[in-house]
Amino acid sequence: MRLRVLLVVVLSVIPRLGLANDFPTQARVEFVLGCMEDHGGQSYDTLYPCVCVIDKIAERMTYKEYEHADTMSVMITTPGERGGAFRDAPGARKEVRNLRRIREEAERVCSAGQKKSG
Amino acid sequence: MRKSALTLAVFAGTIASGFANANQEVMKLTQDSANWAIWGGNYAGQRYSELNQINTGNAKKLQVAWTFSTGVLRGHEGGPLVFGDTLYIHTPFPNKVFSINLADQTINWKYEPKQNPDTIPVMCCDTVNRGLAYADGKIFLQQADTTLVALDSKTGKLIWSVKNGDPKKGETNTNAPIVVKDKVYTGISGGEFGVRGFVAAYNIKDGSLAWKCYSMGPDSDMCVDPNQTTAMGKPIGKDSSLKTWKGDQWKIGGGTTWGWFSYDADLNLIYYGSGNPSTWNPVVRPGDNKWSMTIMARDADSGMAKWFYQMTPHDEWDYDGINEMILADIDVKGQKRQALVHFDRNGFGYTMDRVTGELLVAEKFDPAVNWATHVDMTTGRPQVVAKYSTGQGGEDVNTKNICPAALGSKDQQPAAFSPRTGLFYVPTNHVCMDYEPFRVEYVAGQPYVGATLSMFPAGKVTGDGTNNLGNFIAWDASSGKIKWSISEPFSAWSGALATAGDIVAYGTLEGYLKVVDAKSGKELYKFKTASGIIGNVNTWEYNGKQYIGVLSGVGGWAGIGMAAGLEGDTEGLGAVGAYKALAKHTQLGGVLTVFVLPDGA
Repeated sequence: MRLRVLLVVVLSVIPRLGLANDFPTQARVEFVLGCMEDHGGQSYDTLYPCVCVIDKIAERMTYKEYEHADTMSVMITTPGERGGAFRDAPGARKEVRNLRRIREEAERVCSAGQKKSG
Repeated sequence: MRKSALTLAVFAGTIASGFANANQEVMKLTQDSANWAIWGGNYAGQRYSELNQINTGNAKKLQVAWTFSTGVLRGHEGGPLVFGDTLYIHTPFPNKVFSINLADQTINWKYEPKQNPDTIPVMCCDTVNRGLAYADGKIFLQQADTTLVALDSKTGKLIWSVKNGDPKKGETNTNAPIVVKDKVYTGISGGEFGVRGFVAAYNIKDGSLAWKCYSMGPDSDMCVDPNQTTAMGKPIGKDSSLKTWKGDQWKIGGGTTWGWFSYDADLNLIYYGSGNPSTWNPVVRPGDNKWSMTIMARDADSGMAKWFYQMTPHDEWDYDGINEMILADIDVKGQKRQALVHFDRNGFGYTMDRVTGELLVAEKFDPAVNWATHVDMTTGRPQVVAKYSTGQGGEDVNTKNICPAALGSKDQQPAAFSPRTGLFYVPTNHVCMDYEPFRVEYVAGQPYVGATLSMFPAGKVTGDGTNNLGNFIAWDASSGKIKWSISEPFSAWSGALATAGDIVAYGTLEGYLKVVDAKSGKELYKFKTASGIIGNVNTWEYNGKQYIGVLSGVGGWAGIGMAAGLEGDTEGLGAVGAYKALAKHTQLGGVLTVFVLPDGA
């Protein structure tokens, strides 16, 4: 308990420079599981690069920014009239492209570029 | 001889009570708050439960009890039916149904219909399905290809099936059926393909057609009595629909019926709404286009119309009138009323007298709404603002900054009503649009839209500096005023739940299940589920514990490279092409997430 309090204090004083990686554990685990699946399944060969990718993304965005862009990237592909509101929203495509770019750069740095199935 | 006559009489009695029981059985199930036996929790469509184990004091302690993956991609709308020790859940196309044993969450049975994938391209707005109905030992599923099926609720075995429409003409289905007495009612989708909307009643015994009533056309097709059926308190008169269309345009006139059905047992009336007139180009279809965009009250036995109320005569914006009708006895301006409350896509919240169809309240439930200044309470007509009229603007003219967008201030996701607070809890869109009508020729089975749209957050029009695409609001239907409002970054497309624990729950497109205080809107709990939520939040009790369950699934899962359709094939209408990137991840799919309080909470 004391350790957790200490950690919270330490994390909260880390300057915003480089961002404090505020991604919840659940979000990181889900990302890594999905990413491994996307790269050929669960193995250490996919685990390490995927952990690296989410850490690199978290260095460049707050979780709130990531969550918004990630949701937008899903909604933009919703077929029909419904996806229209998101495809047309000002800045939406830019936001999604930005997330994609950050992710692709992270994948390059983390040697996670070679997809086996995805 | 005497004996056999008696036997016959008893036999006949059994049959008669069998019919009545179908209704009484569902009624009884819905009256026990342990169950969630119908889409709206009760026939009134209130989505309210008397369960109060989960309440404002302990909701923050909620945990995930169990999950169930459907294995089906695409948007998951609707919610589970629960009664006894069984939960029934459906999926989008191909419309699987699972019966799940609540004791250990194992699958009792699974039903998977074979449907022609050619159905998919003629579904305008994703391949969703809004859920099941139960009665008389049967689970009713309205498949996308318009096949209505009755399954044995114990075994999943197909008992009967009937064709409700023809996908080749653009007819499809997404709605949840509803059972009243010995009939199951269903509607039709396809307003974007020039389909003529109707409601059909089938006998639950064998699937034979009892009656079919169209939204438009000759009086005989619409099940109306020109002298008895009323609108705004007056008889609708002869040929009320035909007079409001040019030539025989009514034959491809839209007015589809893909929303929810409610039922008042005392009045023996069913309530539902009809959708937009075809095409979206208003210039080519002069007139009021009756009875598109209409709240309809019909006799549950015969289908005969008691009253109509057309909300958006001569639609110019695609403001379908199909959203749910919530029946509630509330005070309206100091008077006790048997009310019907409806949050329309056109941005007005209507309070009607559900006995007579009298218009009591019509106020904007999003202040951004600008296409009409107000609704004239004498004529019932919206006062359209000329500069937002796409018809007056004309063909190939882009009418700008219309609020709301075609999706409406609210889409199909049903609101909830709490008799304890007297408030309605409404998931809303906060989106506006530019709209440019153009001329199209009708071809059966081809999109018949005729408008180009561009949409954006309402803040761009109101100039209040906001960028949110949705709100979740509490609404006072007596005065027509917003009580409180929660700003949501994305449109709120999940059906709401209200309970006697004075909590309200809904889902968000980011995937959060949110629980808020019914009185204040204060957030009590949130949990991020596997995908965006467009399903309805339902609640039930099993073995003394209250559960809350919701489907998530809009496509897109954490860690998987999406955004594939960014520049590509999902533009415009027609549910084609999307989800290619996900196709190989077949183990992914919609997830039912079920919440409970931990022991001792």
